[in-house]
Amino acid sequence: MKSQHNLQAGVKHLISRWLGESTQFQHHYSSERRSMPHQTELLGLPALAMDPIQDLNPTSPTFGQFLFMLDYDAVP
Amino acid sequence: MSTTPNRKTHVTLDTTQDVLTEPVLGFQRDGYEMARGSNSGSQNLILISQCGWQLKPMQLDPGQMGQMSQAQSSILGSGQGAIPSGWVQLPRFGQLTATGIDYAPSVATSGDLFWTKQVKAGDDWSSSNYVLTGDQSGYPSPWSISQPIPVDRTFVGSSSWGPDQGFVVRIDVAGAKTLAGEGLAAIGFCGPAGLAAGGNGQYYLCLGANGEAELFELCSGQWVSCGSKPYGPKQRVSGATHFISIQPCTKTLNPALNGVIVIEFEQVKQNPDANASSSPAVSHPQDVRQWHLAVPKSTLVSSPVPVRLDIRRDLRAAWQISSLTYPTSALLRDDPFTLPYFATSAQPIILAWFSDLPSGCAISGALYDAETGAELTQSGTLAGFPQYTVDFPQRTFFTEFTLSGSPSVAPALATPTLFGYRVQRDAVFRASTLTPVDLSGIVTKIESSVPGSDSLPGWAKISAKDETNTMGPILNRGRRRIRVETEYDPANPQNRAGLFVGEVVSPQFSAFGLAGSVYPSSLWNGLELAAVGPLARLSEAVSPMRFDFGKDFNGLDSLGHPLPFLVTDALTTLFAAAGFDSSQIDLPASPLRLFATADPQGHVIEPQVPLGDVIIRLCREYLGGRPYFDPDLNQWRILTVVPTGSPIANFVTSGPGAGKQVNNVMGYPSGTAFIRKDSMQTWILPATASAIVAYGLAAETQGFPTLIMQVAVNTPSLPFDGVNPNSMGLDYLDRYMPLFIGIPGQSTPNGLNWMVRRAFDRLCHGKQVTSWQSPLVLVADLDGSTGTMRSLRPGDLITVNGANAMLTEIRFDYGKDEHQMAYYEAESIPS
Repeated sequence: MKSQHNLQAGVKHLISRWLGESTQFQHHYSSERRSMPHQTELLGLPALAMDPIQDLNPTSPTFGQFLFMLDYDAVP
Repeated sequence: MSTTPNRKTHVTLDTTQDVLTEPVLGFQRDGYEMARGSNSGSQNLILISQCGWQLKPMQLDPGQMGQMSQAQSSILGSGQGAIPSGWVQLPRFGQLTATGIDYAPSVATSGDLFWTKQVKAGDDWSSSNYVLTGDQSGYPSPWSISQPIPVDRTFVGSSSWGPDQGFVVRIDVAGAKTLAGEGLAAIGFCGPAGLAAGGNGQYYLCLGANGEAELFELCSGQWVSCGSKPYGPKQRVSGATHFISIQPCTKTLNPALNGVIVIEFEQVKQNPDANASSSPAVSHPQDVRQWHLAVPKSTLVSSPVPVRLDIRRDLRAAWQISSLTYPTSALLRDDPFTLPYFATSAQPIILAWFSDLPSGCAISGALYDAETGAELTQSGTLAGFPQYTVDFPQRTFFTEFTLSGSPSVAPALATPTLFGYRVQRDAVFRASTLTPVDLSGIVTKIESSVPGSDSLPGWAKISAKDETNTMGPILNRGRRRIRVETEYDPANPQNRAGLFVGEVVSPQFSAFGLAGSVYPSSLWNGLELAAVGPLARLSEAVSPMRFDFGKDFNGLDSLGHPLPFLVTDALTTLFAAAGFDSSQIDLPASPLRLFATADPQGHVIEPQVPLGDVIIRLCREYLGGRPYFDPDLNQWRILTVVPTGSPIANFVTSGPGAGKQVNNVMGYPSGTAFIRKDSMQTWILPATASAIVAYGLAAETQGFPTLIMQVAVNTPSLPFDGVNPNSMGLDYLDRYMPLFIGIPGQSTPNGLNWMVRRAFDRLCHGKQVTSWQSPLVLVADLDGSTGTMRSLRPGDLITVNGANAMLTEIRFDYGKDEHQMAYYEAESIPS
C-alpha cells in the first residue's frame, strides 16, 4: 500500500506539472494565440523599465520580500 | 467494534439535477468585421478604423459642397472666425439661367464659397489686411518661422473645438508651375491627446510645397513631429484643388487607444478637358490618400483649440473650411451569420449593439431570417434592445441597423457611432426526467478520490454485487450521474454528508452466476461503476462561441468606454456555457475586473477552447483559488489555496488514552481521529522554480507595442547577490531554475506584477506532504452552507500530530460502513 501510494503521489505530481503547473503555457485568449508564436519578436520590442517587485538589497532586513502587494496595490 | 458507528453509505444513480439541453448561443461582430461580403451593404456610412460606423459626412463629396443647398451652411465664414479684411468670399457655383435648364429645389442658387486674397496694387502683402498677425504671434504654427517664404495666418475660429470635431479644408492652388520652398499651408486643430509623448491634443498639419504633409502635436509649448506622409504628387501641388478631411475621434472601443485621427487627402487634378469628356479617367481623377493615426492610451487630456489655417504668402490660393455635416439617416445591412446549434422558442434571442449616441442621435437594429429575408417575430425588449422568437429550425440570420443623426432635419450636425453588435441566446436548462436509482443495498466497496489539484478531476469506483439481477438496466447506458453520501445520525437519516458526485462513464459487469444456482441467483452479477468528478465534465466542455470579456456594457469608465467583465461574471458565463445553471454556481462577490489589455481582442475567448482550462486560469490568476464542486451543495465554489481560521480536524498517532479502544473514534475528542499504524508517509514536493520571469505587452507607441517584463526571485531558493540562504530550507534548490510566463494580455506593470505574485506563490515554494489512513472524518459545516455535517475537503486547515497542515486530497476506500476509512494527504504549513 505504501509503495502504491507513493507511486500515485509521484504520478500525480508529474501529471500536475504536465497539465498546468509546468513551464507550458496554455493559450486561451485570442491575443495569446496571435502573440505567443513570435516570442523572438516580442522580446525584441522596445521595453518599458519596470520597478523591482521585491526588495533586492541583501543588507536590508526585508530582503526578498515583495513590495507589490496583492489586494492592496492598484491594478488596472 | 465499529470504527465509524452510525454511518450508512448511499449510492444513487441518475440523481435529480437541472441539465443543459440547449447551449448558450451567441455571435458577435465588431465594426471592422461588418458589411464585408456580397450580401451586405451600407448607405451613407463610413467605417472609421478602430472606431466604428458613422454617418458619412457630406463634405467628403465635393459635389455636395459645390451645388447642394443643404451643405452650404457648413462653410465657415466671418461669423465663425476671424479673417483678414483683404480676403473676400466668392462663390464657385451659380445656377445657369437659361431656357431649358431647370434645377431641383435641393440645388443651391449659388454657393461653394471660397476665400480669396485680393491685394491692392502696391499694397504690403504682410500687412494686417492679409495676415492675422496677432493670433500668429500669440499662437505660432510649426511653420510660422524659418520658412523660406512666409506662411501667414489667414483664419482662426471664434470658438474652440474638442477632439471629436471633424472638418474639411479645400485649398485651390492656381497655376501649373513647380513650387519651391517648404511651406504651402498649415491647418491647426484639436484631436485625441498623446500621439506624441506628453502632447496636449493640439495639432498642426503642415502641407509642404513638395507634396509632403507633416503632423505636429504641441508638447509643453514645443511642436513635436508625429510623422509625415505624401498628400499629393510633388509636381502637381500647384494647379490643383487639395482636399483635406480631418476626422479626429475619441469614440473607440480599443482599450489601448485614446482615439484616432483619420486624415484623408484627395487631390483633384484640374483637367482642362473635364467638362468636355465623360471618360472614366476624367470622372474618377481622384488620388485618394488616407492617413490613420492611432493615439495610444494615456492619461493625457486634450485641450480644445480653434481651428486655424495658414497659407503661403505669395500665392493667391483660395480656400474653404467646412465643419462636418451628415445625412439624417443611414442604413447598414450586415452579412449573414450562422449559429452552431438550433434555437427553439424556449428562450428568446436578443440583438444588442454597442454604440456612442450624442444627444439626439439614435440607432435601431433588427434581426432577419436569412432564408426568407423577413424580420423575426419580436417578443419584447431587454434594456432597450429587441428580443426575438427564432423561426425554428432556422440558424442563419442577418442584422440591419438604421443610424439617425441629430437634428433630424438635414443637415445633421452629429452622428452616432456603431461599434459592433452581439446576438445572444441564453442556454436552456430543464429538470432531468430520469428516476433516481438507489444502489445502496448492493454496494460492496467504495473508492473515491477528491483531489486538491485543479488539474485532476477526481474519480470513484463503486463495486456492487447484484445477486438477484435486479439492476440489469444499469448496464443499458453510460454517462450517468452518480452521488455517494453517508448517513451519520440515525435519528435524522435525511442528514447526509456528500462524499462524491460525478458521472459514471462506462458501467461494466461480471457474470458470476452459475446455471442451476438457487442462491445467489443464477444471474448474479458483479458491477463495477467507474466515475469521474465534475472537473472532467468542466474540462470536456468547449467554448461554443466567441466570448469577448473585454467589454462589459453594464460597467463603463469615466469616458463612457466599457470596462472588462467582472471576474465572477466571466466565470458565471463560462460555467453556464459548460452546462451548469445559476443554481449550481456559488461564487463569492468580488469587485475585481479582468485587467484591461493593450489588445482590443485581449479578452476574447476563442471558440472550441476548453472551458475548464479558462475557468481554472481565471481562478488561479485573479482569485488565487480553484474551482471545487461541493458535493453537499451541488454547486461550484471557489476555494482559496490558503486556508484560514482554526483547524477543524485533528489527526493523531497517539492513542486515545488508558481504557479506550484505539480504533474507535468515539474514544477520541470531537474532531479528532487516529492515524492507522504504519500508514503515515511523508515526502517532499520541490519548488517548481527559483524565479518567475514574466512578460506582457503595453500599449502601442508609434505603432509598436512595448514590452514589459518582471522578474521575481525566491531568495531562499538559491545564492543571490552574496547571500547564501539555508541550504536545508524547503524552498532551497541550489541553482537558478526559471519559469518563463508570457502573458501578452497584461499591458500594465501592476497587472503583470499581480500575475507574477500569483505564479510565485503557487510555484516557487517547496512543500512537505504527508499522507495517512484514518477513519472518514465528518465535521460541522462551519460556513453554515448546509447546516449538516460534511466530509473534509481539500483546502481545510487541520492538524497532524499537532502541526498545522492544509488538506490536499482525500481518497475514500472502504467496504463496510462500520469501518469507513480514507486516505488523507496534506501539506505542512510552515510555522
